[in-house]
Amino acid sequence: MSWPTNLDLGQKEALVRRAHSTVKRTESGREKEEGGEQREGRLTQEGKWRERQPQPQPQQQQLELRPSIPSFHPSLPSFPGMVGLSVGEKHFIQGGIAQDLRTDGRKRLHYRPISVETSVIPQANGSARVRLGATDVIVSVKAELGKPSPFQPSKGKVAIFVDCSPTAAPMFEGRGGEELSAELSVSLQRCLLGGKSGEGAGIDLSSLMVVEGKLCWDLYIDGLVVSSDGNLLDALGAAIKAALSNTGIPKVNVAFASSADEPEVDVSDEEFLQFDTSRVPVIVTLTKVGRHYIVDATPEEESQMSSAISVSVNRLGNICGLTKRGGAGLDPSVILDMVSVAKHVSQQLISVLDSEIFAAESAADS
Amino acid sequence: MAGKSASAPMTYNPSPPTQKKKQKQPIFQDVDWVRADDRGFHQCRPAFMRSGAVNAASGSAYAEFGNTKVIVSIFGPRESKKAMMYSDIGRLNCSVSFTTFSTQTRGQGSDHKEFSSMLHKALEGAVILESFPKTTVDIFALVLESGGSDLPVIISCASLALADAGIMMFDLVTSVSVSCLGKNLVIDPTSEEESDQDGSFMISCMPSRNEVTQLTITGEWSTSKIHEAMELCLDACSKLGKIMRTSIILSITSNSCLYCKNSGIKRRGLEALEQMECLELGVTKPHLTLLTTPRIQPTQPDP
Repeated sequence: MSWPTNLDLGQKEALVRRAHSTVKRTESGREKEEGGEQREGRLTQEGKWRERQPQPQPQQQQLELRPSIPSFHPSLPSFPGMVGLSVGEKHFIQGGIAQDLRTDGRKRLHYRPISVETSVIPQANGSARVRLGATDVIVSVKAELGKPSPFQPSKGKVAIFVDCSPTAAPMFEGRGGEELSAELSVSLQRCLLGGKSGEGAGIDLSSLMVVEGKLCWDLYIDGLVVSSDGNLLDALGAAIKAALSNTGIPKVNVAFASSADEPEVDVSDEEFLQFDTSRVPVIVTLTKVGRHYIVDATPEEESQMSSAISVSVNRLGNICGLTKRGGAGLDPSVILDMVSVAKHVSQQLISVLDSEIFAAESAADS
Repeated sequence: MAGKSASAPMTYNPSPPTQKKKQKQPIFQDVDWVRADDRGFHQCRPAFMRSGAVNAASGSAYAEFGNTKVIVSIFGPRESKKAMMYSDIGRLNCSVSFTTFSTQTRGQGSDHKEFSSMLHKALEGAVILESFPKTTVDIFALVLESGGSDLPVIISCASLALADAGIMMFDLVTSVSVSCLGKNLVIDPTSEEESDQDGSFMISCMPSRNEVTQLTITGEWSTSKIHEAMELCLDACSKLGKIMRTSIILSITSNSCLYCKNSGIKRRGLEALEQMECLELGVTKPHLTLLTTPRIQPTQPDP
């Protein structure tokens, strides 16, 4: 395991001090850590959310796939469960989580800096690229006119698919990524589309209706995992939220020919309607390592997890979906505690994501 | 709550055809609507479960919850495929399929990928995979009739079949789902209720260990509602667990049981029961010695 490279000086110092204090403790057998007090002070000074690293402005309308954040560990494959760690490294990760200081200097409930770019795909109605550490995902939203289902004539349709590109990891080649793709797609559908009656959906399906029973918008949300560095689900959820707020649905003028059954439509290519994305939830994955939970786990941390739950929470603080991963069973009270922690974290994530999306939109406009 | 296993039919018996005329859609938002089958909101459908439904399988079980009818067979443990990497723990290969006639509209009858992976996730935490390294256990579930809450029934039935096959588990896995319809929480929903639900909550747990192996929530839920649903489900799960235990004991003890005349199957059932017993005594891991030495020796043929 190599050292993370994008830490600032204070965090590096804190990490080195932790490593030293661990050594000292084992040498002298003392319980109390040296320099522990100081470390706490330094970390809290940094604030809850680390500032985004200044990045060069991306060229407009160009898909830049080269990661601008250096990769932490080029030698390790980024795939859950496939990380080869030595016993010492495992202990270091677990011990760090227990002491609330993780290997990259974060606290347990801190996300990595999120960077959002919008309008990355000109052909789509809306698109966004989200980077979280070295995790890199692109989401495109395409709208097509279609026929509503006979069971729900006044509602449009939304489909979510995720594709894991072999560029992210060699095991995604061919059918290798299929299982992960299916799992991510199902989890996202569960978290964003609400119940069967359409209640509680993040996207208001009735706003997609054009002519009741005849014509509606079909929204195709396609996610692409370009690079995987852990916590794919949260990144995809954030990217979908950003892509939806970037989406413009063309205005449709409907003209009924006198006796014809099919309405005539005129799709405007100048006027676009924006989506109301305030109800779209964010997804927070809490990974349980030992007795503690962490957010935004790296692949190394994911390999140490006993189980994880992904909770999607909207602005009102209501749960919109929940998925459990990992084989180990959980006590019901632990699950309820994790849900309440996720609710707390989600409100911070929503505000950070909102400001990032706003910044990305204004950067794309200028 | 759930189950009148004694009054339920012993063999597969197609239920009377559901009324052809589509009734007026019940208004679920009303506080006092009545469920189509006159159940209370917090009342499960009568459950019937039997292990040992398929002779050729290492273990099998049949479950009937209202109109939902499921059969699960377990094969193996067998050697894992050569292409698979070495693994010092066993693997579960889960496959859920629907018959073409299981639903109102004729289905494709192919594998249901989503349910298969959900079944796997619900069971992997309960099965002691270390007890069969390098090998694979096949779990094939077939939904004969889909009448709502299919996945919970599949999961419960599969864990009963695993016990019947003598695969070591920490505990039986029981699973129950709750639908949110308007203001009401409705347990063990039928397919009509499921198609109108605002949200669903499915839990699978090991009742004696009070551990949740799988949990999914869809739709918008407030925290208090999640608490309520979880309490409701856990209570139903523990009751379902009792029914499943009874059905295991029944399949061993009753001589009249259609399926259990084979002594081999009988012995396997006993192993499973012993496993359960030591779990009930508070031992987290079953005694290996208990399991490897059957209490009843198979009858020796006279020389």
